[in-house]
Amino acid sequence: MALVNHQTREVTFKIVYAGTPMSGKTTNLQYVHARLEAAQRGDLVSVATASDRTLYFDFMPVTSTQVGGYTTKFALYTVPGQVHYNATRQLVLRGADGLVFVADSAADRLEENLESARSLMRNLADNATSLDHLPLVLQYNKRDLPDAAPRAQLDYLLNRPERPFPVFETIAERGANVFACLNAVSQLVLRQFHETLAGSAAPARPGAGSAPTIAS
Amino acid sequence: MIAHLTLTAETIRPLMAALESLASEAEARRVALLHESGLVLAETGEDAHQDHGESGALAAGAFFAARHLARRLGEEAFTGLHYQGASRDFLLAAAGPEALLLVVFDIRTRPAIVRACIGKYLPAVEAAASRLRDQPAPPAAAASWVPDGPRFRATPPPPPPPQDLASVFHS
Repeated sequence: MALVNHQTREVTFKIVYAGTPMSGKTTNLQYVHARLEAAQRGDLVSVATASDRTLYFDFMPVTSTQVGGYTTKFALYTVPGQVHYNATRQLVLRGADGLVFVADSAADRLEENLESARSLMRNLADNATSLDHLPLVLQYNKRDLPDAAPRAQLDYLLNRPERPFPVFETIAERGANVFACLNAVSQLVLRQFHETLAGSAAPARPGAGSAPTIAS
Repeated sequence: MIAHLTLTAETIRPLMAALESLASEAEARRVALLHESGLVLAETGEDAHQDHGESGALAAGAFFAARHLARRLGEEAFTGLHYQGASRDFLLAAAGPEALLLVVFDIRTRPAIVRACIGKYLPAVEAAASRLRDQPAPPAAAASWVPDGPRFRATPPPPPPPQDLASVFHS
């Protein structure tokens, strides 16, 4: 749900990083926070346990360049990945305008990626939304792991050949492709918003139309 | 699904009037209307505009976490949350189906006064908030929001520490 403020000439969107436990969602935001110009970002707020596991969410506001006299702002959130925080995940997903699904590339975590994707789909359905209306970018993180699963296996489980989601292979700890992923999802969100304003309820991705899923 | 909420001069005026009346009468330091997603829709008061939305996100999280906890403990009629601090109190109250009211106050006033003022002005806030939906954005503005390349760029990494300092830290 975007907020358009014609008084301050700002448009604010919410982007949520969801995904597998310990897949690097918080690391994404930490890297963006560390490497984005200070003028373009607010504080990185983390509601975490003593052992630094995300308890509720991480939050960071970022400001983009002006387009047509309007400043675009993005509220970046992560959700806790652990299974028993599902109620929290569902709450944080409310009002999201775009999603990044962060998967762990480790070969022995493919099942967990799949379960997290299914959980995301259930939460979106419970929030009365779906990927018909919500842009999503897939991020395969930790590509530097020696036991990283081949991309084709991750695609097979998490993506769909007929309506592929954009995929970014990342090493969030080093920042590889983290900004590319953020730029991609923010552009998809803006495109979706533009299409909504233009009156066409066109899906965010070319070819999308019937009930897209990231996992069946 | 609501695609967007729109604040225009026409829609913000009655909303700000209600929030300012509430802030003034309750002697609150800050009154903010938040969307359930954590976005700050409007705010007023001497402590307003102090951050970039961080407190809105945390307030929404605290409200829904408390409501969820209340339900698990068998309380279905949860409508608000009051934190009593040493120098600041805050009250969070539901304002319609998808908005929250955050009122921050100090020793100049009392929780009972703040609650009474919330009760008095809540209908006006809810009515004004409901008008934020269904507001079309001007077509000219719509045309200007076409994506146009990377919006975020990483700054260069910080330089490594001088050799002598590095050797001290690693010795």
